[in-house]
Amino acid sequence: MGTILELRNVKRYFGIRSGGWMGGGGEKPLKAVDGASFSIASGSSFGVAGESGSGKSTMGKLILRLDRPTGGAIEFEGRDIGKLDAEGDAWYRTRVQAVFQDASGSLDPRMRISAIVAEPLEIHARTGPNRLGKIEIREKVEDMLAQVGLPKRVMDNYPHELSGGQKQRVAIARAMILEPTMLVLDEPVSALDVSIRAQVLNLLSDFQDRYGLTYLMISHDLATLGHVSSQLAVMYLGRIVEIGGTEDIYARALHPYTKALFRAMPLPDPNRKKSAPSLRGEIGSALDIPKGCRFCPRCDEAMPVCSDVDPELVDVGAGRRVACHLMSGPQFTKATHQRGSSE
Amino acid sequence: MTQASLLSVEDLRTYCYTRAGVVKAVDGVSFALERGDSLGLVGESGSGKSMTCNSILRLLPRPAARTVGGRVLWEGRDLLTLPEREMRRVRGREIGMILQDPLMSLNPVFTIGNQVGEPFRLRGAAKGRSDLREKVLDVLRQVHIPSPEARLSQYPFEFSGGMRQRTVAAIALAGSPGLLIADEPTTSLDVTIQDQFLRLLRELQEKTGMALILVTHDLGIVAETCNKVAVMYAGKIVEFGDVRQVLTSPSHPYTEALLKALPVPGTRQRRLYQIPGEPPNLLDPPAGCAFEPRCHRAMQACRNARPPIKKLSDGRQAACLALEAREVR
Repeated sequence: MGTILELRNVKRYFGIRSGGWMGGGGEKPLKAVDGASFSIASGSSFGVAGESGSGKSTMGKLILRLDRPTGGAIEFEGRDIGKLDAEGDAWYRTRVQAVFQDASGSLDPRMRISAIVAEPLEIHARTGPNRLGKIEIREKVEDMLAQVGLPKRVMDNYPHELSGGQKQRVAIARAMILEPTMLVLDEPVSALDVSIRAQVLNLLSDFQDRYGLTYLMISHDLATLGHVSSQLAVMYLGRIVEIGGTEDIYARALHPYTKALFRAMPLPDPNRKKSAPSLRGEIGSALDIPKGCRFCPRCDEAMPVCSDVDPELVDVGAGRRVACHLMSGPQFTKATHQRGSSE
Repeated sequence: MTQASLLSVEDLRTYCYTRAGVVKAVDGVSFALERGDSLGLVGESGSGKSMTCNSILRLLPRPAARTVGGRVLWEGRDLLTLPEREMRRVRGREIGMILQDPLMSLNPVFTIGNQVGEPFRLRGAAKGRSDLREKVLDVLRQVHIPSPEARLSQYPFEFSGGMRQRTVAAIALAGSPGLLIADEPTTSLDVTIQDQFLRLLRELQEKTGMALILVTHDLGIVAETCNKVAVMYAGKIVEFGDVRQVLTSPSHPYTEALLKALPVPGTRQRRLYQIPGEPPNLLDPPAGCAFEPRCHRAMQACRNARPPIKKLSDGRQAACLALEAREVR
C-alpha cells in the first residue's frame, strides 16, 4: 500500500485584528492548525478525533482545497496540491470528494435528487474525451442511487421530501459519482439517529471494500472512529497530540488528553464505574495558546517542564507518536513513576 | 402505580393536528417516578420523548398540539387540569427544565446575574439586593461557575457553551425543584464538557434528592446517569425498567437492536448490526406494532394490533407479542 496523502508541517493561521479602532490594533494570529504532519496509506481509513476548536475541520478543509494552508505542504498522489493549475484543480476534484455532517445544508433545496447527483458529472465530464451524453449521465445516476440503497423513485424528489438518512445517502452518491479515490468525511453520521447510523457506516465500508477507497474521517465520536479507522490522530488546539494504530490507541492511550477523552466517552454499560474525575476546564483559545504544552492547563499529570517547553511529537515505537513530556526520555518516565506511587 | 409516587404519568396522549392529518406524537405513555429517581427517556427523533416532557409541563405548541387524554399526577394533583395560574407556580418552582440549546434559553441582552436572579425576584424569595446577590452567587457556585462574582455582570456571549449550559442549570435549580426535566442537555457540548455536566447533574441530585427526567438518544448517557430507563418508539414506551436490567439484557427487540447497532469501541468489526428500514411515518402508522416492519422477531400476529405494555416476570415492562409468547412458554 502506497501513500496517497501526505501532510508536512501544515499550518493554517488566520489573521485576527486585535483591539484598536479603525485599524489601530495589531494583527494576532489564530493558529487553527499549527504544524500537522502525517501520511495516509492508499485504501485505508484514517480518523481524526478532537473537540470543537481542535482544528480538525479546518484541516479537512485544507485537504479538500476549500482553504489554503499558510505553511507546509499537502501532497496527494505525489503532487503538491498547493501548486495545481486550473487543470490540476479539476483533476484533484475528481479524485477527492467530501461528505459533511449536515446533509440538508449541503443539498440544494431547489434541485431534484437526480440533478444533485448528476451535477458533478455534468461539470467534470462535460468536456474532453470523457464527455458523457444525457442518457449516459442518467444511467450513471440511477446506478449510483441503487448502490447507496435508494429506490429509483427518489430521483424526482426534492431534498425536503427525504429523511435524514436518505439525504446522507444522496450526499454519498454525489460524492461517489465521479469515482474518486479518496473521501473526506466530516462528521458523516453525527446528525443521524442510532438505527440509521449503522446503515450509513455499513454503506461506507461496503464502498471501501468494492472500490478500494481511502477515507479520512473527522469526528468527535471515538466509538465511531474506532469502528471505521485503522489509523487515528487526536488533535488538541491545532496540534496532533497522539497518532498511531487505532486499536493500539484504544488498548492503551498514552497522551493524558487521549486518556481523558476515553474516560469521558459514555458507554452503554451500566456496570462501568467511573472513578477518575472528569477532565477539568475547557479547551483554550487558539488566539492565546499557552507557552508550554497546550494541554498543560487541564492536565492532571503536568510537571514543571510542561508549562515552559512545548513538547514535540515523538516516536514512541510501534508506529505511535505522542506529544507529551511524560513520553520523552527516561528522566521523565522516572518522574511519572514517583508521581504515580505517591497518589 | 401507587398514588404515593412523586410523579405519575398515566395513559398520556398528545396529538398534533397538521394539515396532512393527525399525528399521535404521544400515544398512551405511562410511568412513575419516585424522589431521587433519574429516568432516561430514550428514542430516535420523532419518537415522542420531547413531546412527553412538554406535555407534562403543558408547554405544547398550541393550537397544533393538544393533550387529549391521560393524567399527570404531581404530588397528588393532576397537572393537566390545573388552572394556568397554578400551573405557573409549578413550572420552575416545583419542576425545572433545561433545554438542548443553552444559547436559545438565555436572553442575549441581559446579564447573567440578572437572568439567574429572575426566578428569585419573581418569587419574592430575596430580601433586598444584597440577599439576592448572595442567592445568585450561591447557585452559580453550586453549578461550578468559576469566580462567579466576576461573572455576574457578563453577558451570555462571553460564556463558553459548557458554562452557558451550567448557567441554564443554575436558573432551573434556583427554585429548588423536586423534579428536573432535561431535554438533550448535552447534545451541543463536547464529550469532556458533557462528562462534567452529567457529573454535575448527579452531584446535585445526590445533594437535594431531586428527581430527574433526562431525554437523550444516547444509551451511554443513560447508563451513566440514570437508574431507570424508558425506551420510546413511535409515541409509545416499548420498554421500561431498571437501567442495569434493560441495558444488559434488553427484552424488547427494538432495545436489543439499538444496543447491537452501536459500535463497540476498540473492536473493529467489519460490519455493524443494522436495523433495516426507517421509523414509521406517524401520519400513517402501521396497523399493528409500529416496530413490526423492522423487527427480526416479528410474527403474523404483530401486524394486527399494537401490543399493550405488560409487566414481565422480572419486574420490567415491555410491549411485545413475541416476548409475551416466550414468557408464557
